[in-house]
Amino acid sequence: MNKEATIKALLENIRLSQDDAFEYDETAILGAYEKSENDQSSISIKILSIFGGFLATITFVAFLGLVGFYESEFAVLILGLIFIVASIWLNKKYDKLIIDTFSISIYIIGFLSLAFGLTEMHVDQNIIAILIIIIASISLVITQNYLLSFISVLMISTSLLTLILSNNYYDLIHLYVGIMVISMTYWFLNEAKIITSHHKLSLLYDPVRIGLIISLLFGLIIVDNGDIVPIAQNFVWISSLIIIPTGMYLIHIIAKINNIESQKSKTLIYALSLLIFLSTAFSPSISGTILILLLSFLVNYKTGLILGIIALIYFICQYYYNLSFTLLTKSIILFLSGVIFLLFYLFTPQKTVKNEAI
Amino acid sequence: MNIDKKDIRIINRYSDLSEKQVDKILKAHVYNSPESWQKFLRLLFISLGIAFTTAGILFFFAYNWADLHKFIKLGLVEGLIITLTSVVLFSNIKIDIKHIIITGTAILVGVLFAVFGQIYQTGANAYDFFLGWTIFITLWVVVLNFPPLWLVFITLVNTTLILYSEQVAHGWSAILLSTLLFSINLLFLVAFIITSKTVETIKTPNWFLNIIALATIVFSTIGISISIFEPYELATLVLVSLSVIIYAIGIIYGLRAKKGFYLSIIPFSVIVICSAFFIKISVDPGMFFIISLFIVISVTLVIRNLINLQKKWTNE
Repeated sequence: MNKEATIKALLENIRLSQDDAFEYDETAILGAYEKSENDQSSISIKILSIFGGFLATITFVAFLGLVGFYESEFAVLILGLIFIVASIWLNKKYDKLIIDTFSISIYIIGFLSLAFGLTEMHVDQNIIAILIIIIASISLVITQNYLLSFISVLMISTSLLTLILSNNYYDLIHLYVGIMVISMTYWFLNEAKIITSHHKLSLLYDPVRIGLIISLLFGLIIVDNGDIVPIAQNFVWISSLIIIPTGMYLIHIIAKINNIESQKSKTLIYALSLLIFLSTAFSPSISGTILILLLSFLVNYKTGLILGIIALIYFICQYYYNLSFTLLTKSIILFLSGVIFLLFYLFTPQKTVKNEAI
Repeated sequence: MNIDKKDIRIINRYSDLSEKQVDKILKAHVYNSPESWQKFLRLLFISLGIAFTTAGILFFFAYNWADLHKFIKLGLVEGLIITLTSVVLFSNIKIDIKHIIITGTAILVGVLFAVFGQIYQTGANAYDFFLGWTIFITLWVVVLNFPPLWLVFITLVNTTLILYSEQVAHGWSAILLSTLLFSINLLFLVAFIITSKTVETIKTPNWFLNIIALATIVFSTIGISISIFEPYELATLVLVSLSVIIYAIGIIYGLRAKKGFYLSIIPFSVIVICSAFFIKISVDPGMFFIISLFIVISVTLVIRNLINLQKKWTNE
């Protein structure tokens, strides 16, 4: 079957599955397919662009350092601004995959030079961070290129973290984690709403999603690791105040998907899930990662799932390593949780529709 | 018919599909169904269950380790290994669960060797510890043919070799070591590709082949980049000529078998090696400028070719 026929069959298929009629512009759709074919990105291409971009950035920064360019803070500042504007403009003008490597490197060099120039001019760090947030946000509005948007989201979240850490408001990290958890959950659960609301938002959907996952992981790593930042260890559970209710809401949605009707199994599922979440109250990084896992599986997002699994293994190892109990207590906790998971396994039916979710 | 995310994006852009309609299509065609949830949860629970229970048991013995007799220490780990393998042999649980259990048991074999090393003071880092571990799980690895277990095995082989060069073969240069690591991983890669092509019952997943290919090319890239800054030796000649041949074969294979992955990592390796060579020529500021330009332009060209190839492949 050729491409055109495939697409027509596809549209027909969608029409049949809908109760209400819908209008579409067939020539535009065919054209869009043609264009996307010319510019089809695979994971190898994305990784190649990113690694190439970083390597080029490093060598170019080395060049600037060697010629003594960094001695004139004004020149650095101007260069930074020019590079940022140039990369955004390039992407806006030629939305082509092949300029990705180039535009990523000058985008990152631009931000680095801007921050460096302003720091040398003794501008307050807070102002720099806020400025970066504003510029990155503007770039999100102007261009929706995948990699550039992804980097912009990370720029925004790391600037937020800088604001928190450089002002010594360490415990505000919980607020950061909370905001990230809520925005990530909202973003995952409202895909249809977001992509139908505005053309630009539908283009931004994928890069922002992966950006939010990684931003949340940044926050969780800081909360988890008392050595990086002096957070009040007695109040680590504050993050859980947002994570646990969100997690329970997610369990509710998952139970609905799995058609769990009977009151008895519902109560059992909620009680056991709450038990698991509560047992991680003092290590929000574990429950936060469980959220990433469940959300990614819910929408069938493989990259998120893999990131979640790696992060979960890391956080669980950290947790038991840092526990200040004796080995005996640790072994009992581990063994008991292991047995609980095995029980879950035994009680999850293989093929019946009614099953136990978590 | 399969409707994927990309189709929904494009059709959504040029139609007046409502939020509800898009939501319905997403749920029907993209999101996971109750059946896959069950599979996922079962797999998650069994993995977590086995991992936590084994860790709990291990921590328990670690707790009063010093007081135990060495016979009990070794016996305990061996007992655990025997129990797990018996479960695999004599029960009728699903084959993929059995694979996971054996992978866990293969790790326990390492624990057994560590305990042995601790009792008889052979030192936990000694290469023979990893060598013993590698040898004694080889049979399981080959019989099971389970990719994650293969990954454990190949990591062990590489670790053994690296430790051997550090602890025993003091005369080995970094280049010789890279050459050996490159060749070994290459052998694995070629063997896997050939068996998955010739033997019909053996299916090797792509992600697994890609990881081994990546490891192989990382070693050749590191080795050749080092050799640019080191005096000439025989291993350099072997490594460079072998890499040239293998890269050429890799590119041809990538083009024939339509593997974009090979067509991106091989050129990238060449780009890194060329950059190292440029730095060898000169460390002037101007050279760094030239290198950054070179990287951007060459990577862009590689990507352009990849895009064109993909286009050709999808239209064929």
